[in-house]
Amino acid sequence: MDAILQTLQDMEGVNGAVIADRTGQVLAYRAHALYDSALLSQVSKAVVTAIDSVKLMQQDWESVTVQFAEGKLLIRSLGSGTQSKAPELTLSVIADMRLNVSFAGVALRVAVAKLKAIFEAGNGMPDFSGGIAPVIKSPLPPPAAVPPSSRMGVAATSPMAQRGSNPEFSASNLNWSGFGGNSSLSGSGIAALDAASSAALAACTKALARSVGPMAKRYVKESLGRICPDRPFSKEMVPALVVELEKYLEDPAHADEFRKVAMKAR
Amino acid sequence: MKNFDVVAKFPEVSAAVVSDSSGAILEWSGDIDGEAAGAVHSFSMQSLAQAGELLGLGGLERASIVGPTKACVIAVQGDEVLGVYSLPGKAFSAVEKKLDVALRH
Repeated sequence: MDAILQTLQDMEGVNGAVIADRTGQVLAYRAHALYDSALLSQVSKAVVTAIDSVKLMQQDWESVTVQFAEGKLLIRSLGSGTQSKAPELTLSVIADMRLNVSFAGVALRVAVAKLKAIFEAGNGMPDFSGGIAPVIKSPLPPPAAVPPSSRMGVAATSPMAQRGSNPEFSASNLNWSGFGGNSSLSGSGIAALDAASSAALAACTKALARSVGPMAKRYVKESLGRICPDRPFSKEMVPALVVELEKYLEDPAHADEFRKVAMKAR
Repeated sequence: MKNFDVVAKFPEVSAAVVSDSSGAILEWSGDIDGEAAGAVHSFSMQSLAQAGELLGLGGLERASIVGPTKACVIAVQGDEVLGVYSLPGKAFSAVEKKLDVALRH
C-alpha cells in the first residue's frame, strides 16, 4: 500500500495521497512535510462531510474532482461498504497547478484498482495495525522549469528536485484578491494599508511559494496574525514578516534565498 | 443566475439547480428535487472549501462528481451555487466544456 501511495506522490504536481475511512480518520498517507497528520485529519473530516452530503444525491459516486484556484483535490471511492468485502474508504490526492490531469486520472484508476484488490484479497479491511504510514519528510521541491509539453505524468522524480525557481509557477495564481486600495479588507480577512504594502505582501508570498508552493498564503496569513493582529499590514513590517516566514523553511539554503528575495520587497 | 436558462437548455443536461450559499433554492429545472439538491450542493461546497483552505489551495471553483449512472458539476459563482446534472462520459465532458464557456460570459 505504501508503494501505491508513493507512486501517486511521485507524480509531478502531487503533494500528498491519503486513505481515510468513513469517519474521516486517516488510515495511511504519503505527503510532503507541509501536511502533517493532524492537518490531514482535519482535511479528511471535511472531505467526508462533503461526501456524506453528496451521497444524498449520488449514492453510487465513484469520483469527485475539486478545482481550487491554486490546485486540485481528487477523491476516489475505494468501496461502498455494502459491496462484497470492500470497506467504505476514500483515496484523496492533493495536487497543485502542475498536475497533468489526464495522467493523474490514469494513475488514480490504477491505484484504486490495486487498493480494491488488496481489500478484496484481505477479506475486507486491510491491515492498518502498523499505524499510520510514516510520512516522507521531504520539503516541497521548487517546481522545475519544465515546459508543459515535456511533462511525463507518472515520473519517478526524486522529491529532492533541483533547486531553482519556476517563474511560471511563482507568478501564477498567487494573487491576494481584494488587496490594494486603502485599508481594503480581502475576503480572507487580511488588510494592507495601501497599494505599496499590498504589492510587498504579494512579493513575500511569491518568494515563499517558491519553496512551499500553495501553502505560502496560509503561512503568510498565520504570520500576519502574529505580527499585526489588530492593524493593517504595511511595507515597514516586511522585515518582521520575513523573520516569521523563515521559520517555515527547514532548509537553511531555502531560507537564505527566500530572505534575499523577500527583503527586496521593502 | 445570469446564464441559467442557457445552461439548463443544453441538450446533455438532465437537471440544473441554482441555490445561494446558505442552500436556499433560487432556480431549478429538470427532473430533480430542487430544494434538496440546492441544499446538498451548498453544504458540500462549504465543506470542500474548508478542505481547500486547510490545504492552502485557494478559493473553491467547482467540483465534479461522477458515478456510473449520473454525473454532476457544481460551480461557485459569487454567492450562488450552480449544480448541473447529466449522464456520465461524453455527455458530461460536453457539459463541463459548455459550462466553462457559459459562465465566462
